[in-house]
Amino acid sequence: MTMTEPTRPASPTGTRTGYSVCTICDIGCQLRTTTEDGVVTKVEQHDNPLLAKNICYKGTAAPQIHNHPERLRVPLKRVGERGEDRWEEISYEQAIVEIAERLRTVIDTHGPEAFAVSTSGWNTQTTHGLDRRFMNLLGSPNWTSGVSLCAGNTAAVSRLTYGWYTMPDFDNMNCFVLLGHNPRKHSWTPIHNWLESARARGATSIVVDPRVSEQAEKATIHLQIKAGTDAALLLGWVKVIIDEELYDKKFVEEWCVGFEDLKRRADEYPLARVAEICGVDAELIARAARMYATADGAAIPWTPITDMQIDSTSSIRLQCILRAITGNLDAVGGERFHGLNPGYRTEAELQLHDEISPEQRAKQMGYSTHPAYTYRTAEILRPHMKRVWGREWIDMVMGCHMANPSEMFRAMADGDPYPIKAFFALGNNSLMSYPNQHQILRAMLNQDLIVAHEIFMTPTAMLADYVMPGDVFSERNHIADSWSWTSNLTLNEAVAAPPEQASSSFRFWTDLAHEMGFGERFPWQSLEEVIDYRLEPSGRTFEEFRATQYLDVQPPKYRKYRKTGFATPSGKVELSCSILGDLGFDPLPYHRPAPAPSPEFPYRVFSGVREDPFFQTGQRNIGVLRRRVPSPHFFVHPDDAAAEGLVDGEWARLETAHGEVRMKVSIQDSIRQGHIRVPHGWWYPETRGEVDLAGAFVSSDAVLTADSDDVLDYEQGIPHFKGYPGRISPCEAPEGMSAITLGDE
Amino acid sequence: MAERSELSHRLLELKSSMMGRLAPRILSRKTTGVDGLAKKLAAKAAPETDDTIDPELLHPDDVPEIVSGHGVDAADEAGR
Repeated sequence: MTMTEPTRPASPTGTRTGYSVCTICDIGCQLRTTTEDGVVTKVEQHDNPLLAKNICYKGTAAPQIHNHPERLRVPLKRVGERGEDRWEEISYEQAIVEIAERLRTVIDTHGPEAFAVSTSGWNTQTTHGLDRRFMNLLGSPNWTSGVSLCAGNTAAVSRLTYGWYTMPDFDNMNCFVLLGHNPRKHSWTPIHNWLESARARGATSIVVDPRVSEQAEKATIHLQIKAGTDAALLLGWVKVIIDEELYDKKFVEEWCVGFEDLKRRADEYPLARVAEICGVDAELIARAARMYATADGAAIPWTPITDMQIDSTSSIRLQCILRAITGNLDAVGGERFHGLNPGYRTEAELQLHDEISPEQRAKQMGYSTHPAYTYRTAEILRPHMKRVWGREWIDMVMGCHMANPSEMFRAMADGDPYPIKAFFALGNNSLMSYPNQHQILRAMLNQDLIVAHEIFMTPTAMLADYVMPGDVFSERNHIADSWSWTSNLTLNEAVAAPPEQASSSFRFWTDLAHEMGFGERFPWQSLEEVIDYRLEPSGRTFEEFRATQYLDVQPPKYRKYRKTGFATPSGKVELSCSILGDLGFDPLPYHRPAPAPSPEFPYRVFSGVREDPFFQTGQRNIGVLRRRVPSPHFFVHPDDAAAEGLVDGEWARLETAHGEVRMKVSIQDSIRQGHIRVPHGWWYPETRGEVDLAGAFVSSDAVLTADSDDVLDYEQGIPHFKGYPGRISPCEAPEGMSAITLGDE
Repeated sequence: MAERSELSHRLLELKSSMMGRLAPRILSRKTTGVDGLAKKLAAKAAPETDDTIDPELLHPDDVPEIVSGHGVDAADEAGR
């Protein structure tokens, strides 16, 4: 068979520097990467002063990551029992042939919906929509991603209220609100820099966080709420803003529907009640609401915190509603609808969503139970998207037509409501990236075929039948479009060659499609041809783009709704959401209490928290990053530590009704009493071969969290990570830990 | 914002739009003509940067990579 060829840079010898979009996390900072004789030696700041500060120490560790001695370089085929981590090396061609044959067997036996994919927007990923294209042509709707509980779901829920997903007008805002979000110099770096610039201009800030975070320390107002009570707080804000007539009456009258219903709902949340729920002074809540509502341009930047709560849909919708009623929607200093870049075909266009039948789309996990970000709502929005944005299918932050991950893993484990028997994880350590890690393990052990596409061996890859080495950003050409969140296009140049047997995600899906017999629908011979095709509306090729630009920015246009209306069924901002109402949900936002602490589990645990040196479950094997945080720590208030006999730097066991993990203790005044903070995604790559799945069940926060219906957000089916009951006690160090973890190095 | 007048909206939009039209010039690879001038103006307006690298971005050369196989054995060697 004929396979595609990998990208080969023009000058494999000598010194070469190119512009890059870093994919060590998913922010996509613009940098410059230098190679010496084809080896990445340096990553440094951009040479444009406007972009130069957008760099963190994860980005400058790219040489260590891309050249790591244990980077996957050859396809691996499992030879032992699943999860035993025993392999034989095979060729890329053999792997593709065998994977295609086994996938065909699964589909012939169980139907195309028995094939599921999980992926993320970092690491090996620049799919150009080809993963969904492959699945849609086969007839499987079961694609999901970590964005289902991080930004992608915010995008989908935002569309239900006003038909798009906003981006703050950072350069002009005069006030900003951070709901638990804590952008720092080395995490969400460009956001951190924008916030610092705004503060320097005199912008006020409101931080809502159970911790005294770095952002809280700098805030004009800090509301130290109980974890997981954000929706109640925001309902209190809505009530203050309506009662005190601080809303934009003209905008509400002309462009919103459901205001009276919203007012009645807000009346159920007087400040005394909100203060009781949130554990914050009522007057401080009112002051914050007034500060936000009266600023001449205010923004609520995206936050991961409300993406992971039992009433996530309401929390996200309340942020949308506040933007709208205060007149900040698509206004200077508020939050913009960027729209699409007219010169670049969207990923959704390449995904071919009309090729999968409505019957197969309806089989998507979550479609009938938790439909907020599935095909079900996307189908309802089709004519409205077409009317306003010119396209029926628009995928924002990859999150608008996803399968529900919890239901997907349940189907993989138990065959309920139908079996899923083939699972591909691309750039995604799925085992540890969703709630209920025990169920995900059962799901993977029940598969006929698992394929992992990765740059390092991960616990998920250890459970696979085939592990395919992927490429990294220094090895591929790309034009990044921020997944349609903004209209910016950013250049990434290949400056090194990928390992001979590695594949870009383009190569992987294209060659697999050819082997499966529908290669004619993947007509591109190279990644650059795909980019040329996407750039066709601009009249430029990739080479022409590269020769002239490293960032294509569209001039801003504001208040576009005056010409088009909003992409909702009513054409207006739906304060009362008709789509949710039609689907049988409450059309108005509400606060839903999370399971409360009890004598048995007296603490509120919040997990899914990112640490600066790492992105998600990655980089624990990178020496220069791991030395910055060698081991995971629970953050505990001093009074709680004293009550439980915990010692700073010693090990403790955190238990929930669902599972237990062990980490070291960090006693911190900055934590609200009664709360425990748990970092996300810890495993121990150095213990591979000695500890089961390299310690994937020792400290992973996904072990702690349940995904039974009683703790899922109704509309999205998203679990509650921000304030669930737990208990903590001192313990010995886990068996098999390395010297770096134990602190002996 | 409570209510911004239509005139205020339009003035702010005009200013932002004018800045926005300069952005592609500032972010192009061309360094002459209008693009060059835009870059010079942007460089003056940009926050001061110097050529020294932020020490927080630097990594020491002598940190070994973490590879599989130094779990129990390494810890034992360290005297556990």
